[in-house]
Amino acid sequence: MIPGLVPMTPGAVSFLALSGALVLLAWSPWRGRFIVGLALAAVVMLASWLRPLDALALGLFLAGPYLAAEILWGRKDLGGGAVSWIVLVWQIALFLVVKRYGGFDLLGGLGHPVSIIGASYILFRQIHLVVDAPYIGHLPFSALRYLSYTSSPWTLIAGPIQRYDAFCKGLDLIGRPQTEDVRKAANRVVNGLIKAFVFAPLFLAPSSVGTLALPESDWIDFFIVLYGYPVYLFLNFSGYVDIVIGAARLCGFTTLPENFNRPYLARNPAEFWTRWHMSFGIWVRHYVFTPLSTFLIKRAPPRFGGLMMAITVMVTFYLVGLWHGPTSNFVVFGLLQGAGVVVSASFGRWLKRRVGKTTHKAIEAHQGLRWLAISLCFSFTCATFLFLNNSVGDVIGSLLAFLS
Amino acid sequence: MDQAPTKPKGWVLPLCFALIIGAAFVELLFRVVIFPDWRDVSQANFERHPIYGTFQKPNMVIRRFNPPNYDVINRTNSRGFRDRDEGFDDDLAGIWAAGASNSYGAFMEDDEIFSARLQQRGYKVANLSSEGHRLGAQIRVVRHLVSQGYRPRAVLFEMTLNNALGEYGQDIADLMKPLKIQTDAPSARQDGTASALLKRQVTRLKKAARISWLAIKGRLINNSAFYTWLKVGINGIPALRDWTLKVGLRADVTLVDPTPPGLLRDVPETPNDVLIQSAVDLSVAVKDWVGQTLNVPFAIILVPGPHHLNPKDFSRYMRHLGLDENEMDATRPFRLLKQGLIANGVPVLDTAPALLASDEFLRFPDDGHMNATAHAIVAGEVAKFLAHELGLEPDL
Repeated sequence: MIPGLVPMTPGAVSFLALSGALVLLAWSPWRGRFIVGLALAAVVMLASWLRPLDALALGLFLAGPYLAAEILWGRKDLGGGAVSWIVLVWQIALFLVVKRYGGFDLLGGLGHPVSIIGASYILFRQIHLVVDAPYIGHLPFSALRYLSYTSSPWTLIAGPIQRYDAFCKGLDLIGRPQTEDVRKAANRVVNGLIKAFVFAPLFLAPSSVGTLALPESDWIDFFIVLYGYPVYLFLNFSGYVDIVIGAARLCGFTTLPENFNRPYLARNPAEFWTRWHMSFGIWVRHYVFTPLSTFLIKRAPPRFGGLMMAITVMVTFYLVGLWHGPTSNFVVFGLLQGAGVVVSASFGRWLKRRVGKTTHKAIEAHQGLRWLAISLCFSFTCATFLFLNNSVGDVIGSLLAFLS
Repeated sequence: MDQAPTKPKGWVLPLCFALIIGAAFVELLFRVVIFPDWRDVSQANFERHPIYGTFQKPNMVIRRFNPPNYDVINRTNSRGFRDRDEGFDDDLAGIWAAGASNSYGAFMEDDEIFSARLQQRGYKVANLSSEGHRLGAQIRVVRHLVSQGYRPRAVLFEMTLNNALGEYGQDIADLMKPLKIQTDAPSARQDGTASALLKRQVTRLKKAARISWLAIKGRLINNSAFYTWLKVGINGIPALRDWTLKVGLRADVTLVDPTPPGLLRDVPETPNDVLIQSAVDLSVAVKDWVGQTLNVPFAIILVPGPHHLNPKDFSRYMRHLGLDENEMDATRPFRLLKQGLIANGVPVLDTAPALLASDEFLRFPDDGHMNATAHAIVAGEVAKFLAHELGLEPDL
């Protein structure tokens, strides 16, 4: 860690200073060397978090996929081959050890000597690079680009998850944006700061489910707990994304993907995941859902297609839950979301068969029913989010105490 | 015809952004390069205690840093006392040293505080003091320990003039009542329902939105290396230190005294003397309570204030206030308090003669608290007092 420098998070003074430095570089005659500045900024941000042992672990974590990408770059003949698989297995195993997942907690005996900031998001980008390296050989690749892509200060801690081609395109666009775009980007940064650091914290403390166990809690408290955390999470996360997208756009880097599209207006859980943490949803679809469903459906008799799809959804969301955290509450969250997707999709198909295409379309277009679906989906989402913020025991115990 | 230049629309937020980024640059420079020790200048070392009010956090190890004044480590035990952890129960069977910031020794190393020096001389001493306490809160500490079954050999209350002067009517009345648990302290209160928590959060936001110079300064000292450097770090550079003092950018510690100037007027009686009488009344009440409840000796350790110890500083202070030094007396509150205590049968240790005789610099350059030299002198005086006046020999 750098003395005096507290770990950088978006919104921290040091992060804003770093962003400002990148903006100045992007607007300067030296913008051609922006990649060097971005890599340097990544190192500074990492150095604000990492102790010497952490830095060593990060070096190890970054090395494998980089070497694999170097080997596989543009080599379509090696696509999906042994190199990719070995590195992917190695990298995921490393990730599980560093993040202390049950069964992989090999460092527990040493008092968990290492911790790597942003390991999840670095891993997402690494998997993308290793899997797609054979097919994106037309893009430039170097150690600097690899470091900047995997550990860019804009996206290190919580995304959004960008594809490498979009990253390269973003680098090509570096420069001073149009005045109106500067204004919009600066607006977005300030709005993000207000959302994430002024309004979001209001809802965090009141959303602890444990307060429902208090005898004086009533139904108003119940709804505050139920809806408080999702409001907090949205304001905090989308505020953060606003800050980093705005900061990147000020440099002319306009290709960072959006992460939210009015998620709480989704009509069902499947749609919710196309609106919430979108870059993560797309990544999961590309690298987990699609390969797994293809694998299962190919091997199962056609009449089990629906079942295979349901299994794929449940496995995918089980992994989504595990990614959020290694404890049981996150698994419950993932499985509930998966069940929601399966049930709502099955219901949609059943309804279509039952009432016919035309009536189904009319039902979908009906404003009243639309808002009913939105409120049901929102409430379901909020109920599952209880498990993101509380342990399973706390949720069940507090709700039972509240209802008794 | 000339066309008026079009004014760019909506530049308020971008300007805010530019200001934020500019400030962030400066701030980062100070955090990393110019003043990396900034976090040690102001530490969050207190928490709410249900009985003591504000009290030190337990198991604290924090650096107190203020160049060129001090650079020390403060430790507290698992109960929040500036004392050892192992053996604290033994210490609680010895002398109880109660007091405020001087006894707590905020800017001292652990072994430099006068209570620790007494320990080095063979006395078992429990330091009950708290940096943020007034005497009333220290009485609650003593009473709480008694309610837990601890019994001291003696109870000493350190009073530093002129901070010790105040209105103690409520504290005297409280001494007659059962020990009160302050249920409004957050640590004693359950978090409350979700709606109560939400209301509290909104209130906090509203409070934060209020413009208060004092609150802004408080936030800045905790969050800004640049401000902290201007406030404290700059003192590490002698030329800048002198310059800021000269032009009035920095408060001169010699020109600060919490005493109402009227109390310093060299006349037989002033309206402000009620503050002295109140301190006497409190001391008498505590002495009686200690006698009745514990049947052990009680005494007041009187420590003179900075102006009492440094007549030249007092002259400057008087000139600063535009008062005639010849009509004022820096020692008056101390003298009257001592006389009042003696008249009411409260044993008093007057540390002023020994401190004045030392001819040493007894405070910090920018802070009026006792320095290590003063603590050593006070420890010597207390040891003599314990042996000769209270008849208490060292335990070891």
